[in-house]
Amino acid sequence: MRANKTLNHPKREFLPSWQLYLFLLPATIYIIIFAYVPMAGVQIAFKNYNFNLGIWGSEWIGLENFRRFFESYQFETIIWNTISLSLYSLLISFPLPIIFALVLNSFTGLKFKKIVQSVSYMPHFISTVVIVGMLVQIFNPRTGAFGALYTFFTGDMLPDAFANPGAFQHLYVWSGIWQGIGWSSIIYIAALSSVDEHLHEAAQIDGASRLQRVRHIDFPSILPTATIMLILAVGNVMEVGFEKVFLMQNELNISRSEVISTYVYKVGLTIGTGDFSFATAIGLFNSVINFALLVMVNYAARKFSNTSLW
Amino acid sequence: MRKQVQLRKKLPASLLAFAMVGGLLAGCSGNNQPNTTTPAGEGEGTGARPVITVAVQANPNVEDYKTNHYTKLVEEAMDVELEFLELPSQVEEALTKLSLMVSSGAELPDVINIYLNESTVYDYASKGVFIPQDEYLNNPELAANFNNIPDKDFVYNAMKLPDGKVYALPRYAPNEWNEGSNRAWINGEWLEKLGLDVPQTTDELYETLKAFVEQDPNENGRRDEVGLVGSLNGWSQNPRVYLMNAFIYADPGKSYMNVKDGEVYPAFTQPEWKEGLEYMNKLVKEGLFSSQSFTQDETQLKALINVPGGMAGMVTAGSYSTFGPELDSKMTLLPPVTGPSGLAATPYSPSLPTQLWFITKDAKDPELAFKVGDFMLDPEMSLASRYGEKDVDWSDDPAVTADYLGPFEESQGLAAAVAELNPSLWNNPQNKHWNDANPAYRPLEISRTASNLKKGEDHTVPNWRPAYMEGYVPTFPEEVIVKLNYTPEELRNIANSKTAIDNYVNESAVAFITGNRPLTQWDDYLAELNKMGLDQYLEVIQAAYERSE
Amino acid sequence: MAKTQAQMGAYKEKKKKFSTHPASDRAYYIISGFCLTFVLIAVSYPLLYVLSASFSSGNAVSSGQVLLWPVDFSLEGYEAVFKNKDILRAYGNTFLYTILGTALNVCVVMTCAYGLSRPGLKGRGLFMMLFTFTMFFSGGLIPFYILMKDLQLLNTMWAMVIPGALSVYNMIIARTFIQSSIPKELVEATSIDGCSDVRFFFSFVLPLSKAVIAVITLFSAVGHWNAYFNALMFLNDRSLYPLQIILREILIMNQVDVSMIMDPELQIANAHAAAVLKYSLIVVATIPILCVYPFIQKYFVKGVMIGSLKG
Repeated sequence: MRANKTLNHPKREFLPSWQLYLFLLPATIYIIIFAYVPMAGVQIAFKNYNFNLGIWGSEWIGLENFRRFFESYQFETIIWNTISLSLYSLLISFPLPIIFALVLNSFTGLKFKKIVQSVSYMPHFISTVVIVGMLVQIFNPRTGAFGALYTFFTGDMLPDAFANPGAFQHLYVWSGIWQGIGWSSIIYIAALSSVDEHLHEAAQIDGASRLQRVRHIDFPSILPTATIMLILAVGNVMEVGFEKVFLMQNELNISRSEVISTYVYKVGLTIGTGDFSFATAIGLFNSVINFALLVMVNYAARKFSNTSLW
Repeated sequence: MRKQVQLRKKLPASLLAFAMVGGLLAGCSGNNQPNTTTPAGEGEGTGARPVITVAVQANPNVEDYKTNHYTKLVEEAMDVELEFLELPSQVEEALTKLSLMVSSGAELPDVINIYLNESTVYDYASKGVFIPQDEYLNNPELAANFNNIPDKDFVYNAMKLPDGKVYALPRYAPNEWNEGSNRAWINGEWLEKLGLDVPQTTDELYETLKAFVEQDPNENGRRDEVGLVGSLNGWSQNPRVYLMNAFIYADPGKSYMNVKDGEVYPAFTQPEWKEGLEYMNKLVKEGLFSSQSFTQDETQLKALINVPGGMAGMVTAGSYSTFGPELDSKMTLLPPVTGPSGLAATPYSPSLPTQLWFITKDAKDPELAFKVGDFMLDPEMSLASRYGEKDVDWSDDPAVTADYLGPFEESQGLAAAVAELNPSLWNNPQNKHWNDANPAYRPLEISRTASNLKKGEDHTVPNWRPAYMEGYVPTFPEEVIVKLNYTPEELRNIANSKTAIDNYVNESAVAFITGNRPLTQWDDYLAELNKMGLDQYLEVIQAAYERSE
Repeated sequence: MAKTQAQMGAYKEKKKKFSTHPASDRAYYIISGFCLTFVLIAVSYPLLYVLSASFSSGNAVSSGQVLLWPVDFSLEGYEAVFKNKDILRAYGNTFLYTILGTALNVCVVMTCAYGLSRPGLKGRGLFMMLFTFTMFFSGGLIPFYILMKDLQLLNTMWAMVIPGALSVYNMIIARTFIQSSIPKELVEATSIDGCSDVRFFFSFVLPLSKAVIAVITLFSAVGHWNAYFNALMFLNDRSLYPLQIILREILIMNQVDVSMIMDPELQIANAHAAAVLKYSLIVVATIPILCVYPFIQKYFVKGVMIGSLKG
């Protein structure tokens, strides 16, 4: 880190020139036109949106949309379900791809490595509907593959996993790993490929074992990437993908499986015309929490690891 | 150092090229692209026919709306040209796109011809996006075909919105088979093998299921038989509904709201509902009613029951297509069983007209647009809308229909009047009709006399309709909620409590049935419902019901 | 190039005989080999299942008989998919949108990421804030639609290319990569030599960032390949539709929404035909994009000798 210090106080010649701003120009223009100009529309969260009157003309109702959400009967349960599912998912699906990438990268057989890598990322492309259908099928106590194995070894019937509210989160998270571990590890594998090979050579000459080199060379080299990915993931805690949860829901596990997105969907269905204002309000609520979390984690990361978004 | 020079040369050059292309795209996108969002109004292309633009829903089975046979029929008869704007095939996405078009102030097509639920229609109507069609409908000259409908008063009233006006044309094709779809099927072969009669009461049903599960009717030496089973999401495959209707009338399509002497009340708070839960709990506890019914989807249900020799004694399903060739017509229709109080019922959803062909505020010639829609109600057009091209895909020529067996020919002597010459037209990509998504009127007689069964040929699927008419139709209750006319404001007020209550009622019912929650907690359950705002919810329903009467 | 490779993997563990590894490494390789094999098997199952189901008869699929291998081998799913007249044109559209969109995306992302990766840049934090903020807050669909209308992008192919020009997420990944893999000494050294920022970008940053460019190309291409929502909302003309829209239309038939249709029994006939399509659709829609990966993968395996660049 000492080298860094000298960089933070560079001599005059090293100061980036005006040319650097040129690099930022296309992205900045883009973001202003396509993100900041339409952002004025967020005000419909505080309005009773009427398509005849438009965004600016609709009636201002203040926090009414938020109140409706906070006062809804299941509010606490839904928030808890959303956050606990999200945190559990983060806890598992953040480190596993890193471990997978490290192990894969350090393995010897080049052919085998390539095969594992290119096969493991493919399930990402299978649609959620199909994945959930396969899950239901595999865990079917009577006809499923897992059910049959269970019966074979224990002589008992497998308890129906989809009937057990407690099992919902496990099924959701681990099937997510099943489908996504390869895909999520791509970025770490890419980062590992830029590790300076001289370091490995030097360490090998010093007699470092493979595991030691993974720990002391490979891991530190992807740490900045991992930190940034963690910051971004934490900034996503309130978002739980709608489709998969919805498809995995049934009346037996709904007490644990109702999350914000599925609830909003159901409320919206009742209303028929679709309630843009209500949906926007809840989206805004999620965004504010997410953004606040991101800012906090980013602050912590900057303090402790010197890596941060800004 | 050489290597680096190579590196340096290769990549940047290609990237620079990309950058230039990118810049080019961004640069020219703003100005020289013609705005084609509103294909309306530019009808000078072919002849002088007036153009009517119609928003339709994309459908993979409709190959091309523009060159479609049905389109050609309309265009020739009405001397107009139809232009199409395709909305997404998924309902919610189509709704989103429609509201985006309306919100952004873009010019709307003359006609919106997609399925919209009534509160959506009312929302658009009350904001002036759709124009009322009452004046046209009541004018026998303009609405010649509509006024020819024998039960046009019923159709007209059924389409009225809370403001008393009608904003659409009907697609009305009553079919009794769909009016009471919560059907149950019992394994006839097993009944025979065990020497049992068809159960008629809930007690007999209990005994029958017990025999199925205990006496190994599939003769494989194992107790692997399933008594009663259904699924979570298939069409009318929820077994709770069938069983509950022996205790109290229960229609999930109306959120289990019943009506007596004009007074709406919830079925799920009544003592009979509790009795029903107790009965089902007993069945589950003794292994006669598979609790997998609450977690498995339709595919799983089919995988479970469609095995050689059969696996299930009783299955709830709306369609006989649930059963595969392995069961070889072994399943027979089981009429509603009678409960301890003497009730035997089944949910009744009367056939209602669907609203289509909404004329928008931007229509250039609303009267003409209306006339085109009315023409679709012509009897022959209504048949073309479902069966395709006359004399190619269907025929009403007595010489042809004489070869076909009507669904009620054997039971009631009703001969076939419409022969479906090309039945596979319906579920395959075709260019003959709009998949019946347009105004149309086919009276009940059509559904009872249209046939695709050639006489003398083997019929792979038995004809259950006469048995259904005999067993199910008489158990329809006299007083039902036909429909509920909510205003958007009411819906907004009850949305939260309705979602919460619907969730809770279903969740609790399953918990009570599976024994996850003891029935001693029934009072807690009632108290919880009240906390959720059941009373306010009921008030709104009552108001909506009175408005719809 | 051959020489480069030889030098790159100088220590090359793979060339050694397994027995020559130290014992502790052997144990490590056995355990990790076991884990990787487990992942390989677990992950292959869904792939094999989808492939088998796509070659099975509709009846076998919809009654859940397919477990691992095709049942009642049939091509009906593929026949039905390719019977759709729009498929080929939609393929062409998707290729076009993906190539243009990805090219634009990579350019904007890399330039922006490079600019933001330089620590001395004034206002860097502010810019990052500005970009990150848009990941969380947006005006929603309606104002965006109005914007597209005002820019006259509606119902043009640019509606599929331009709105995705900058992915902030990808930009952050690229920036992090550039920051952590390009040594600061390099900036200093070249700066003293009078190398301008523009030249530094093209001569050093791009060649050293191949791996991350590969990742971003992949992410962006997959994103464009799978994009459908913008197409649904912003395109009206069938001839502009990308593949995903056509495929979704076919898939939608599978969902019977009883509340919206008058004749469920008829719709079930449709749904049955669609059950088998689901799997052949996935295969048809993913094979081309899967082919991108091997091209990209080689940039992950090759390391770059940063040390030699400094010389």
